[in-house]
Formats: sequence, structure tokens, C-alpha cells
Amino acid sequence: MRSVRRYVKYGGMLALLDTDEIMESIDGRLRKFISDVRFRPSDEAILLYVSREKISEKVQTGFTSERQMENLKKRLKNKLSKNVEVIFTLLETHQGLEDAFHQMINHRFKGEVLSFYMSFVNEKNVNAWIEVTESGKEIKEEIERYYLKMLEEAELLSGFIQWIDSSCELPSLPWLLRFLKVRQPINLSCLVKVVSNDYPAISKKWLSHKLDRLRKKDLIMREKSGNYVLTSKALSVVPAGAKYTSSDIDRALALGRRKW
Amino acid sequence: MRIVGEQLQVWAEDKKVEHEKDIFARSAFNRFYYASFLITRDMLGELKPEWKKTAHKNIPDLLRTSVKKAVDKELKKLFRKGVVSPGEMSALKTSLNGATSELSNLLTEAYDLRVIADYEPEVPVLTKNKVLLLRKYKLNSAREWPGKTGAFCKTIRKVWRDVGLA
Repeated sequence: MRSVRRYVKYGGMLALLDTDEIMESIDGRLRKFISDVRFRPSDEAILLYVSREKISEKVQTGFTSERQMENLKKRLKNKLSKNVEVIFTLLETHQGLEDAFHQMINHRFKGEVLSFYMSFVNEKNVNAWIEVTESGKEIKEEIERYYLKMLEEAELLSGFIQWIDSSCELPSLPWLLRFLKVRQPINLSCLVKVVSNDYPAISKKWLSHKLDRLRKKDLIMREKSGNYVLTSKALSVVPAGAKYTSSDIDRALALGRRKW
Repeated sequence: MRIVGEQLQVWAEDKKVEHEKDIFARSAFNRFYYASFLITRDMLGELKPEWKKTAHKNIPDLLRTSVKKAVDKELKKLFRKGVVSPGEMSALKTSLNGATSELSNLLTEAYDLRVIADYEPEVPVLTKNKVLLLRKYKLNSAREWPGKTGAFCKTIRKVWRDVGLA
């Protein structure tokens, strides 16, 4: 560990800083996980660098966890009265793998994959974010199989794959409840029309099935007129409040716009 | 901002004089950080308008704590009332935790490199096998920051919507 004394002048105060002193302030059992430490003079922050290969979901021999580092950060902050940041760094080999996977996917699915990002949660587990073109959606499963095979060959494990395209998404039940609260009373045909502005992939059959599910959970009622309205149980779960992003405000604005 | 960074990177790589390489590469790091910061700030403003004013170095903590706390609170309520299943709750949490943790780490690291690039000229940009490095960090990797940030923000927005917060 380099031992550099820096004299930094801030607001007339002279601050004496030593990276060895910082390291000595770290509990012995955690010190071995810190690959580097740096003092940032511009905002007097302490930066601790921890390699991702040393991170495990739960603490075990030879590994630390994000939570343990978060707690260390707080302890150090109190002890040294400085801001402390922990940076989880990527191994050079991991960076190389990400670049290689990206190139192989691009080569195999020419132009269909708009973006591909991998993230090493630790030494073995990898999460991925993949964005495909409109036509690429047809081959999502193929892309996934190819990606998983590459991971297997590299002896890596898949955490999750997040598809970041939005046009083929479907709404969740909580979103539907909020939407219904704002637009109620509303019938199925009108609902399909307005929901499809946000979710183009939606169909009348799919929505009708979801509304049935909500009805069976006593979250909505279907009036004789065919209109759907929320029950008091549903009103208690839809996020509300006085902020202008609240569903209550959205509801008031929707009522104002409605043509009676 | 991103295209400015990309152009600065091209110029940095083309320069023959080390000092010129250094200054163009520093500016590219700066632009890639700001592109990521602005993408994140826009997203935070959509989630809660007051979050748009969050100071640069407080954003990683806000992502790790406040954003997660707001979603967790809604998820607990939705689970109690039977609106979401345990599997759905776990999937949403995994998605959010993955994206907030990655984005938070990306911004912490990118901010640090941006500060080195702007205020610590004594830390030089080095060239290793035609790759430009600032404190072991590749400029090529910094080029990915805005794209990665966009992907993480899309995931966070989706979870926010899926729990009925938007």
C-alpha cells in the first residue's frame, strides 16, 4: 500500500491525509478485501476499491458482501468524519469476457441486438441487459439460448436476463389498478383502447382475463352497465398522496379532461 | 453529450503527442460521465420531481436506499392484499436491486474518474496496447457508461410502473 502524505488546503484548514492511516482504521478481517484506497482532495472523500470477485451474496471464508462493505462505509465515516465511497471493480478478464460476448452475439445476430451489457455480480454470477430490434423480438429465445451456452462454456452462471425493449411488454396488475382508478368507471372496449397507448402489445382477450383476476381478488367490480370500478380494498393499495405524481392528482386531472 | 465524448475519444486516439492524447481523453471521460448523470437525473425526476435536484455524489446512495425503499413499501402492501404473488414480488425486487446496484456503482466509479480527469492532472492518461487508461480504467469502457445507464434506468422505470407508482 502506498503511503503518501498529502497536504490539502481547504477553507484555510490544513488536512493531513495518509492512505496507510485509512487502511489501519479498517477492521483487520475486512482489510484484505480492499484492493486499493484513495483520498479524493476535491471533496475530501475516501474511496475504497473492492474487486467483484471477492463479493458473495452472503459472507463466507475468503469473501465479503455488499452489506458488509456498506456497514464498513458507515463505521469509517463516523470514525474519520469523511465521506466514504466503495467502488466494486471489475477484473480485467471479466471486462475482456464482456467485450468478447458482445462481439460474438453481434456477429451471430447481425443487427438484431441493439445493446448488450453484462454485469459480474461476483466471480461466477452474471446478470445481463439485452435490447433487441423490433424484428429481433421473434428470436429472443434463440438469443437467450446462445447467451446461456456461452456462459456455460465460460463456466459462468446466469443471474438474470433483463430484456430492455418495451413495445412487447404487458402491464402488471398494480399498474392496471392505478390506471383503472384514474379512468373509472370504464368499460372493456374503452380500456383496451386507452391502455394500448402505453402497451401496444395488449389484446382484448388478455385484458379481459386480467380484469377477471382482479375481480376474483375483490379488487374491482363490474357494474351492470359493463363498467369497471375499484373496490375500497383496491383503493387502499394504489399509491396515493398529495404530490402531483400521485394517482389522486392524476384522477382529478382525468376528471377535469373528461367530456360529460 | 455522448456523441461529444465519442468524438473526443476518436481525437484522443488519433493524437500523436502524449500531452494532447491526455487532454482529449480526459475530456472524453468527463463527457461520458455527464451523459450518464443526465440520463439518471431525468429518470429520477420522473420518479419523484424533488429527486431531480439531488447532488451528483448523493445519487448513488439515493438509488441504493430511497428508490429501493419506495418500491419495497409498495410491494409489501401489494403482497399483503394478494395483488402480487411471492414469485412476482421476488422477480421485481431482483430486477430493481440489480439495476440500482449496478447504476449506483457505475455512477460512483464514473464520478471518481471524472474528478480525476478534471482536477488531478498529476494522474496521467496512459496508453497500453493502443488502449487509453485513466487509473487502470479503459476509455473504451467509459464509452459504454451512457448506454449502460440507459439500460439500468429503463429497468428501474419499469419496476416503478409495475408496482403502480407511475
